[in-house]
Amino acid sequence: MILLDIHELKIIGVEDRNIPNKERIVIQPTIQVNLAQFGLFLGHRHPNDTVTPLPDQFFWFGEVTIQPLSWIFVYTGPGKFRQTTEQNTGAPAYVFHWGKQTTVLGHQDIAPTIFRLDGILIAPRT
Amino acid sequence: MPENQPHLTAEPQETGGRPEQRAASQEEDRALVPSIEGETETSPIRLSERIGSIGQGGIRGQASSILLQAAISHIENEKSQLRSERDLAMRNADSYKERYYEEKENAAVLKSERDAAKTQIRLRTILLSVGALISGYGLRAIGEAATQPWAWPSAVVGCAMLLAGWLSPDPPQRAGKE
Repeated sequence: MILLDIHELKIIGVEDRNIPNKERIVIQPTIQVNLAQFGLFLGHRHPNDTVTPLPDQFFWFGEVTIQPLSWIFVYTGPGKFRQTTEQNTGAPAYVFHWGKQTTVLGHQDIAPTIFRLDGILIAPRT
Repeated sequence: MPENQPHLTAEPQETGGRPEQRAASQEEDRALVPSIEGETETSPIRLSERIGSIGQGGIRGQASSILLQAAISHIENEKSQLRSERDLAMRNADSYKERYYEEKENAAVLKSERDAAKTQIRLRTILLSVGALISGYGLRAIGEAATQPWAWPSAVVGCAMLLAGWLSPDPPQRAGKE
């Protein structure tokens, strides 16, 4: 299935792969954006640069509006959300934590992938 | 980051992290994506790579010959399976061909019956219409005071044609095939 590209965010890369408590995904917004409509999943990258989501590897940012030039860090380890600044540029930084007990980005074929929510359907209460 | 600048590791001033994470082991990595290592499936590419790697070291030792035997056995099984599938496909193709020719013959028979029926219907229509005209003319002429010489023959011929049209058999109706 071919889906539209996401232009509101840009994945800068993965830093400190496989280093516990430092492994992180670095993202930047290109426009002012509410992160509530986005999420992250881990995908298995194929040779043709497509991905297949891995089971049970989903992360949601929550309701945070961010501006361009700020930074988003998603640490794969446990922790608490922080709003701070990036140490090289001084730009605002939003730090999230995925809560994984082990590192997950050790293999180059595991690709963090951003998706955008288009709609939801909630199961009725039974 | 701009491409001409050296890569600066982007890092927040404070992380808010708890130092509870540990590095994943190889098994844990593999469990995440088993197909990355891909040793469970025997794909044709991996099979030939294995056989090739045996050849590089020379076929010596029990382990290598067992592996080679397993690889050959796998190929033989696949070949046998493919042969069965091919035979089944050929049998199916023959059966489809038979049915096709049957249906073609059926269609030809139906076509000729349809043409015959058309001719029959046409003939009946002509007999009835022309017969009605001629007989009508003839019978009217008989009724007139000065009877024309052709009146009686026309009436008779016309009525005969009408009778022939009425009495002609219906075109054959083919019973539905079950």
